[in-house]
Amino acid sequence: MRFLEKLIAPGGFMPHGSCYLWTPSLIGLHVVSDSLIALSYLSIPVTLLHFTRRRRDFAFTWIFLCFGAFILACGGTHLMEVWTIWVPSYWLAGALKAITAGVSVATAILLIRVMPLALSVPRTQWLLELNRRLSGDVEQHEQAESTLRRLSEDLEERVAERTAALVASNQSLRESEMRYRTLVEHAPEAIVVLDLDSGRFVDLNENAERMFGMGREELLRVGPVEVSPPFQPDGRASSEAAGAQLDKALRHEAPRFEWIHRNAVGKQIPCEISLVRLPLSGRNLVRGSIVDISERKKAEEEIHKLNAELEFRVKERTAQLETANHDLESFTYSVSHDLRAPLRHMDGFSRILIEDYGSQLPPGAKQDLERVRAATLHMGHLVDDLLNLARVGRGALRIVPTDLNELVAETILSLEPETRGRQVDWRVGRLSPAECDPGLMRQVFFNLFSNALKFTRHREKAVIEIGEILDAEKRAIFIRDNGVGFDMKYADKLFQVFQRLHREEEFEGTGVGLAIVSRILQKHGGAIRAESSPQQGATFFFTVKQLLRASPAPAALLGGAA
Amino acid sequence: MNAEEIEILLVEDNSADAELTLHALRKNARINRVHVVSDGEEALNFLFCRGPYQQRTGQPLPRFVLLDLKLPRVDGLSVLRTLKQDRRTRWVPIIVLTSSTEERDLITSYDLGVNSYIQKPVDFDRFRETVDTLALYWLLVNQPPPRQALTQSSEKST
Repeated sequence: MRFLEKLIAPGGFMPHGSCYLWTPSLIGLHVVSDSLIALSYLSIPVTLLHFTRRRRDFAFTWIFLCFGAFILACGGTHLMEVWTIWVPSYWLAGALKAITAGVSVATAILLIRVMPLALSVPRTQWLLELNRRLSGDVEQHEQAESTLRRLSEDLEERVAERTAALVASNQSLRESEMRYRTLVEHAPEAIVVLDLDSGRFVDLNENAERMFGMGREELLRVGPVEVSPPFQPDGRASSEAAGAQLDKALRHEAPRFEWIHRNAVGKQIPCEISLVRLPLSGRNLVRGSIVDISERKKAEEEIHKLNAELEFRVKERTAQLETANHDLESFTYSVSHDLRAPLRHMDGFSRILIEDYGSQLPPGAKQDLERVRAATLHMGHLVDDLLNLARVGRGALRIVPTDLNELVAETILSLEPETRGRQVDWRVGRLSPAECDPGLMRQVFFNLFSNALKFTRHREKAVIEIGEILDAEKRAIFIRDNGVGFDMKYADKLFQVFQRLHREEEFEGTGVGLAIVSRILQKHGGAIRAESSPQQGATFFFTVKQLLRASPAPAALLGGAA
Repeated sequence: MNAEEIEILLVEDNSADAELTLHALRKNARINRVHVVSDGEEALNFLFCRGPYQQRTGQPLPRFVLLDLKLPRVDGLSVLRTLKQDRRTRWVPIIVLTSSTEERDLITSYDLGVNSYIQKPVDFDRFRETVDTLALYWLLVNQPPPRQALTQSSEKST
């Protein structure tokens, strides 16, 4: 304690100001100068410290720190100079000086030792030059760098583009593959890909699994032999038959054929297969597309069965018809021969009786015999008409292009005996040619004209008109008379067999003539109708196929319709 | 003309028909030399001088044959065929006189070479007219082949 007191507290010394005799100007000079020095010395280490902090790369930091300590200490001695002007702590001042001396000596020694190193540090000028050259280099470097950067950017851009393209192409490839996968997976048929070298399936879709009743892995393992029976329906071994088709596929012939497959439970499946070689170099891959045609086969069988049945029924029916036809023919033949003979005898012997024994017969007997003859003749007409009707129904048509005008003229001529002694005005218009059976068509005209003549018998002058009109957009031939006509309410009876609208006593007839006409026209595909009112005459309209100039109807075709 | 000479052979199985035909022939045309046979076999025997007709060899053939189609044993069409296919009889005019106008009968008859085909009318007056007409035609109007060609024989000439 005594030491510390002695160091700080003045002990018997006089303040340093006394030496200056307390001359204010001198004291002022010292105080200001020492203070400024001390301040400067204190500021320098701060600056140095700051420098070393900022330039950590600087090689000789510790020199600066030594300089800092040395200057700080010098600054301290100058502060002590100011302090001792008023307080005589010379011990303290001396101790500070001693510290400063130690620091200064150490710094000086260090500086000497460091000098060779410091000298090797490049001089500023050279550094500047170096810097200048460096900056040139840097510029070049920057230019190169910018070029590089540009190139790099370019490259990056291209890489990005390429990547995008690749991504896109990848995507589309994936999509495409997915699309094909979907096509294959969801195809209605079973699809398999067969490797002919290994004899195994290499791919297949779900339908194939379903069809064969096996899982994918199992199918890939067992191969195609397991899904066919040993033999096909034609007796060939499946392996041989399949081999032939696969060879065709390899030759790019794309064969399509029917095949029997067999599923896991041994059920046979009729299929239709089409094979196509897959375009893969180096591998013999064939794609098989397999359609289950069980339903089709069943339908085909059904159709065959139905057809056979139908054919059988047609045959049966034809035989029946033939029998019926034959019976009818025998019947009409018999009628033709046998029914007319007794009539002929009745008439013949009645006539002979009248001729040979007329004088011996009682009164009235001759008249009765005439009645027998009349009835016999009527019966004869009935038989003839019925035979005619049957013949129309039975016979085949012989259709030829026919000039109806000729037929009309011939028919009128043939009726001449019946018009003898009567006034008949035939008004004949021009008729177009027709496709018809001339014999039958003559019968039509004959029956209709006879009809017209019969029902105009009581007219002073019969007017019979024949012509052609358009009836309901169809060409129709009409025959109009000025006879007694008929009530339209009976029109539907007109063309029926044995239907008569007049009493026998009024107008003779069998009621078959118009039925025959109607029948003939029906056979020709035509029709007949009549219009009339009592005492107003009657008009018959009928249609018959018109001649087609370009193609006359084949007679055989129409004839076959009989 | 010999009184024994048969002018007409009538082939008719129905006696009533035969009588009516004969009546018609006699009445107007005054033809009496008519021989009636009632079936096809007899007709052929008569014409070829066979069986009961052997004695007819050397006699002239009838001027014409009236042939019904519906006949027992050998029917009319068979008779027609035989007569028209045989050299000895093929020049004899054959007139089919029948009830039928069935088309197939007409066609077959003409196919076989029939000379005429007539349907017997029910009306006896018309029947008589018809018979008159045909008798007149074949006996008077038509020029027959030379007589020696129409002599009956039992041997088939070749």
